Amino acid sequence: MGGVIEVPAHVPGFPALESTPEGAETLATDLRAVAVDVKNAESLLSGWAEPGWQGQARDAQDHALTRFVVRLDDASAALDVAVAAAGRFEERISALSLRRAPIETERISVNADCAELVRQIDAATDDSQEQTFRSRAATLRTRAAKVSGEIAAWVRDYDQAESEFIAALERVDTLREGRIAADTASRPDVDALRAQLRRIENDPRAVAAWWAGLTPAQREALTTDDPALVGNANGIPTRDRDEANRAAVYADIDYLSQRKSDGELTEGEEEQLTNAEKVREQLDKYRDLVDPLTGHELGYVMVYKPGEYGGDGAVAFAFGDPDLADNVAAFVPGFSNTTSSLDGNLNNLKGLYDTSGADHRGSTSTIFWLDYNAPDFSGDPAGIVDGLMVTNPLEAMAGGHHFADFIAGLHATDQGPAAHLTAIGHSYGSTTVGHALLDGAQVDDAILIGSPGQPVANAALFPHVGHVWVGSMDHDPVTLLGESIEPRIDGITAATDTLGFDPAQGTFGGTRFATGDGTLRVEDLLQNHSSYFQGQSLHNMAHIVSGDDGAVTTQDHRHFGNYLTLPELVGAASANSGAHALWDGAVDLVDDVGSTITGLTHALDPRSWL
Amino acid sequence: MRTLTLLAIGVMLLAGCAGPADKAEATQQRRDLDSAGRQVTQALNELVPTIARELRTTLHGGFTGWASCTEPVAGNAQAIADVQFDAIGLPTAEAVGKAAAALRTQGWSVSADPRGGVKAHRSGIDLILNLQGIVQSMSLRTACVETSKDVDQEYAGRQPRHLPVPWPASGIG
Repeated sequence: MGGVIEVPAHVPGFPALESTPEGAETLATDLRAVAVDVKNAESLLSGWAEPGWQGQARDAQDHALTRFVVRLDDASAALDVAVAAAGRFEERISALSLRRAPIETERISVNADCAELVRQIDAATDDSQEQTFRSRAATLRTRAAKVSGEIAAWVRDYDQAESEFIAALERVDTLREGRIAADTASRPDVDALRAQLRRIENDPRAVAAWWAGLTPAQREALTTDDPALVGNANGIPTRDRDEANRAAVYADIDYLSQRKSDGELTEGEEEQLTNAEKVREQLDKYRDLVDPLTGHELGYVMVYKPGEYGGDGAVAFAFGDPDLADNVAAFVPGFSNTTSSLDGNLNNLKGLYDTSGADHRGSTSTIFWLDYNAPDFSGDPAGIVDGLMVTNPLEAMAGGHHFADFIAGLHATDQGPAAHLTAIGHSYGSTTVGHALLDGAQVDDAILIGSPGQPVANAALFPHVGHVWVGSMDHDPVTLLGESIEPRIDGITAATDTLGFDPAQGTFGGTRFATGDGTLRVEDLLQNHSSYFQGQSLHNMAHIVSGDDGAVTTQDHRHFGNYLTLPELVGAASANSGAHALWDGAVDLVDDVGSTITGLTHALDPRSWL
Repeated sequence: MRTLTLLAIGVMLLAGCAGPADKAEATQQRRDLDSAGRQVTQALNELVPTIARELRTTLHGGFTGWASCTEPVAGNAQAIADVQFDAIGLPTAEAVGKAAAALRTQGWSVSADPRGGVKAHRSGIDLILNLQGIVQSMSLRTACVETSKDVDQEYAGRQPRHLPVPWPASGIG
């Protein structure tokens, strides 16, 4: 070589960081939970009086309580400031995390290219490539300088975010400063904010516009003052709903666990505590996974109502931020689902998230939504009656109305180009989705899996849905409960004591995607009903969610004679299994259940079979 | 229709909600799930260092454990792992090619999408690798193992095992 070729030195990586997006999120959540606890205590103690205390004792109590409540209010005001600062810090750290990824990619690439160039120069035996080497080295010097500059700027911004956060906390770290924060004229008026939100909470677009007009301090103050209102309001952005609901989960666990150790937990509170712990388990399970779109945790709690529906609770949990994702799917489960069954459902939705993402047709969000009274089977008579409501559409109608509101909320908070939105319902949840569509829920695609019936005989009667898809395994007995749309051979349609019409029939107007038939063994019939999130069925749903309709494989619609009716299916499955004893047992059980609950169920619904 | 509906519910109650499996069955089901869990751990021990090396990245985090795969009533569970890697130092198409080649070497059947994804299958495990965004995701799922509801709940209720970061050279046991 004719001279030295200057290849840039290895570009060092980012320094080890004490503040990570996950850590900032945990800190902000913990602070919010403490703020919720303090405000709950303040609310409980304001105006409280020990029954029976009179005279001086009563006066002394009033005085002590008043002083204590004032101090709590000072702490509450200080916490509002700290929570707002933590929220800002979390946003900045997450944004820095997003900015860091492409810089890191370029740094690794520059270092690898430099190492390769050095290897080639060392291996060169003559000067024939010298000019090429010099040119490549010059390009690499430019790239290395640029990436070093970007890393330095990033580190400066990171240090500044940390310093400003620490300074904000130091402004409210004494009692006196808390009092000043409480007395300041700019302290958010949470009662007025709550009243404003209550007035518009049924109009998600109005909620979204109103929320966007608030200051960060107002949002944080209302979030910690009334997390249930903020966390469950359709139209509030997912990120903010998640913050409110996480705070509520942790505050509930703090409060109810203390009640439990004091021996004061009521039966209803015990159910709430169990539901809160179930949600926390899932948050903990997925805590290490990051949303590739935002840098926040992958999981978002969009609904959290631990005391709803007789203790079953209501919950919605998203993988990926639906406000930012290109493809969004919201799933409604059916029969026997409660907050307790989150684990398997979220595993299914995570599988759909991954499989749909692998289509590479934009980013994905999948949502588990359970904010209705899914019929349940528990062992006691009330549970059995609840379970038998599975053939009663009232809960599906009420749930459908709720789900339509939730979908409207997704439209209201969607950012950027409109997301491709898919509603999915399984089992009784498919009937619920059908009622939501009838209520005007606006979706690009609807997927009805394992459906026991739809409220309309033709999908064209759903006013705002682009395409209806149906997944029905022929050996899934629940899909044979729907009313036949086609006249039977004697020209008579089935009776009307069902949840609606069978959407797998051609005249319904949906596209029946391939799911396979399932196994023809009596002990597997329920497995067939619960297997739509696996194999071919899962892959087809993933294609629909990602908008890759051309990749979906289909199967023939049901027509009279090309599938087994329910009695034929159960008979054939029993014969295949050699399970005649099981069949006989089923008949006996049916008689027992029927006679036991006849009187109770009769009053529930005129369409009931009893 | 009344009889049909009651019959279906009755059959489902008997077939899906029957009492606990007998002890020998439950023991075998636990063995099967433990075996599935070991398969996933073994796959992780091969995959994490391979992906990190080939895609010039590091483990960001994740977990492994078991989950119910047929909510709500029937039993059935599977071993799973959800893993993320940090930013990669390669163009996406090149990364897909390198990951696919490395997986094939390890005996996986691979289908690769140059837009950023790899799907693979080996010995009952499905793998999805998504290379997009600020983190790269890898999920592993075994086939569902038929179990009683009790065994399903027992395994699904276990705490997930969060993966150590940085990934130890000796892997995880």
